[in-house]
Amino acid sequence: MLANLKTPAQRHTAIFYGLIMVGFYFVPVFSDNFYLLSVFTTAYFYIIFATSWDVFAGYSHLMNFGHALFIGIAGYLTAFVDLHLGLPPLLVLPMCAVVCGLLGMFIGYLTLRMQGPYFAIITMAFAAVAYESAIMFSEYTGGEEGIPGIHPLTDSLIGDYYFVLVVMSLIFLFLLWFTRGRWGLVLKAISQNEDAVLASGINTAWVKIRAYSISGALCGIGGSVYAYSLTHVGPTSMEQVLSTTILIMAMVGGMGTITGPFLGALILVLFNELSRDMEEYRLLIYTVMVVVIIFFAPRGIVSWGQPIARAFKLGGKRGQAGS
Amino acid sequence: MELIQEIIIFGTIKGCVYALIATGFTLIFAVAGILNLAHGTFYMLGAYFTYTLFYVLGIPLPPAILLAAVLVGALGMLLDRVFLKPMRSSHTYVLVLTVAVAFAAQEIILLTYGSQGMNIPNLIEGSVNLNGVVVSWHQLLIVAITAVVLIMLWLVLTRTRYGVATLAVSMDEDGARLVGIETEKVFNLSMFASAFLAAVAGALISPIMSMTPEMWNMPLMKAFVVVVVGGIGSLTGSIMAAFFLGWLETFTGFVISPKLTEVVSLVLLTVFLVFRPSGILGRRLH
Repeated sequence: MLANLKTPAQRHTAIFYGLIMVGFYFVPVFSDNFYLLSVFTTAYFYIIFATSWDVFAGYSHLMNFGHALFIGIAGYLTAFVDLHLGLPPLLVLPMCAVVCGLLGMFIGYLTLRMQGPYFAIITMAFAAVAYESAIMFSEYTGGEEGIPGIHPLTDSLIGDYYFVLVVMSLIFLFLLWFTRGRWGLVLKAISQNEDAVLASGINTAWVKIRAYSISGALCGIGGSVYAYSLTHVGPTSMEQVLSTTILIMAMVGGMGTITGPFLGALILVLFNELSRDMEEYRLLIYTVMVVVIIFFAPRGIVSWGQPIARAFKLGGKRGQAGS
Repeated sequence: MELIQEIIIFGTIKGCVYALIATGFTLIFAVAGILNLAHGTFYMLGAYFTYTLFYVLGIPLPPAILLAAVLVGALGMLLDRVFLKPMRSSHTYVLVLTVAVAFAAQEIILLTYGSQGMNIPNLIEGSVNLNGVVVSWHQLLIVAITAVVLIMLWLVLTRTRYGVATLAVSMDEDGARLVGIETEKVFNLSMFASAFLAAVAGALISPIMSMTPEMWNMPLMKAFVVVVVGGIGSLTGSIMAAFFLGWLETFTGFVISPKLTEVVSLVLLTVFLVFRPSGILGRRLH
């Protein structure tokens, strides 16, 4: 990661996100308002979901329309393990990561060996069928009501806040490290010309499968913490709307950057809270937003970073692409 | 014996609806390379437009269905012209754009009609006893209409200039353009046909299943499954796969457990992706 801090623009980017991160840790110092903390916690969850979506779909441009599948599977797994076996969260989180990673590997094995639109279709189909099944098999899943009564992570709201924040920070740092190296490069190359990557002796299918599996595993950790934090899991955690919201957050922020989905998720969650009285129009606003972004800023809001920094005489010279 | 009859009859009815949805979905994919995630939306709009034309404007049901399907077809053309045309080269943006359209439509329907289920009446009331199995006339009519619509589609595709041009574009877009086919026009008309077929399916099913703003989701999934099982881009394959899925789902629902009907399609999809990813009639993929 340090290797990526050569130019002033990159250093400014790092300082910018560093400050946001540090700021997050100080929020409870200034206020222990229940509402404020829960808004931020929600934002951290969406940051986990959107950045873990980005590490595969954003970099490879293979659209994942069913990311919420991992949230739901991890949530239900957490509920079962917590209520029936009583294992502590620190054991359950890695378990969810492994299960979701394997699930990602399975779906990836089915679809990513072939070129073509299979991946988008199948991610959507798996999530939809999982959602339907969660409602149908109500004797195990509680149907539409879901499973209540999962034990909370810690005793206090502040404790929960820090737990989620630490998980989010670790995932974010891991993803930055992971994508700024060889992996990110190979995935981006695959999105541009898969045959060329194949010709340079890289097993592209396997690279994609592993990246998708990592994406699933990280989202699984997020989904598990999400279930603990809500002390409840229900079929809504796998809804198509949730998958699409994650995708829109990542796209609005800027795909294939990790920092973009981070900003996108943060901004949209805060926007969402500020526009509570327009609740019913939310999805409509989101969809209009994504259409506008696609047509006018296809690289997302992170691509505005450079011009803004220049306007404040911060960034490097024109043409130095920092991400 | 009665069980087998029931499975065949009700599976065929289900298969007809799947066939109507999936042929349109395959058509636009084969011709324009558009994987249209708003296809389920056309299905939904077909039902809601028919409802509005019938109850609000008081148009008799058969012309209302036809008019609704034409309107939805026109909307499909509009979607293609305005949103998809500038972005057609990128699979990513087509996918995201169409899913955005699907959700926007869901929200608009939700805000306009509310979330409660609604129905339109049967085209023909009453039912008939087919050798011990009671089937409503409307269900039999679905089979008849599907047969007529699919035969007409086949005639259009093989016997008219438009149809031959469409087949040419689906085989080789650049080649078709070189011999003077206006590909944009072909894309547009295919979008019309695709949306029209989905809307007819939506209107025909809504006396049997109530319409809700979320009704677009599952048919879209079924269309996916049918298209992959039939072979991506193959119309005949899609029709075969639609009936296959209809029968298999009905069989599972009747013999094993009704709860498993929605899982059938996923199992079928998985089996095909592992053992025969090119589908029943698809070209071999790499």
